[in-house]
Amino acid sequence: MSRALPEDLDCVVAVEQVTDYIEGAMPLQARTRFEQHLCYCPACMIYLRQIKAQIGVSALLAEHKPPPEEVTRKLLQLFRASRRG
Amino acid sequence: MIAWKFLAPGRIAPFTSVQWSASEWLEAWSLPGTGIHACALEDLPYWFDEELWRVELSGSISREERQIVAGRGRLLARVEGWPSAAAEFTRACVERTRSRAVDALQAAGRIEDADALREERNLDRLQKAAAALAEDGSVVSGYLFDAIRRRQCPGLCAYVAANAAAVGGLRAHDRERAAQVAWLFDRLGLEKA
Repeated sequence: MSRALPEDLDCVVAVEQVTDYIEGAMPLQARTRFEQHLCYCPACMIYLRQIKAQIGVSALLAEHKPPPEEVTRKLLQLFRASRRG
Repeated sequence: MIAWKFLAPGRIAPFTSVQWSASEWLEAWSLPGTGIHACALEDLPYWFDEELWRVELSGSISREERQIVAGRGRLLARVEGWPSAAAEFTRACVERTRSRAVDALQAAGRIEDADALREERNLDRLQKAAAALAEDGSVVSGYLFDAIRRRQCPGLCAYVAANAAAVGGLRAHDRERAAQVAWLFDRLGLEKA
């Protein structure tokens, strides 16, 4: 891959900045350079999407509710029966 | 003021994922981020995406690095020539980079290599020839290889072409970017903002 000009972001720095970018913690100029980097770096764009997807999935886990008590009780019964069997 | 904006398919802003209305004003306060971002002509080669729109901006408008930031904006009309002209655009980037590679080889006294690179009409064979010359120490030929390899991605191909030009200094880089802008201006029939 062609090297970046001095004022351009390289991939190592872009990857370090992903969290700040997602959290909206970057000033406009840094944000613009980060987004420009994404326009010519498909690999970093994929990386950003992966991190966003990971955050989305993690959020779903946080919202996960335990199954109803009756389901838990029956599952435990089946588990114990299988251990006896 | 009149400006331009690249959007993902379906009028989706590529970074905020906000869907633009086809005609309604979009207010900056309703969006994540720092405002409505759009392009002046000279900003276009830095922000390619699938759809290019002519937009109207109003409210607080400021000129920032490689973009315009406004308080509100609305889409006026889609530029019909994009993305169908993308392959032509990247081919033009490749040809300018080829020309630079040929010049560099000539300057190094490698006349036969320069002639071979200039005369090759098949893009796949040109890519292979550029790769071989890059292995043999021709830096600009390496950029030519990259530009051909990345021609499906206009933003990356344009970036590589600009980097190839930058081997000759930052002014050459700026001239390459200006050539990209001029190409888009002429081919897409854009107006000056």
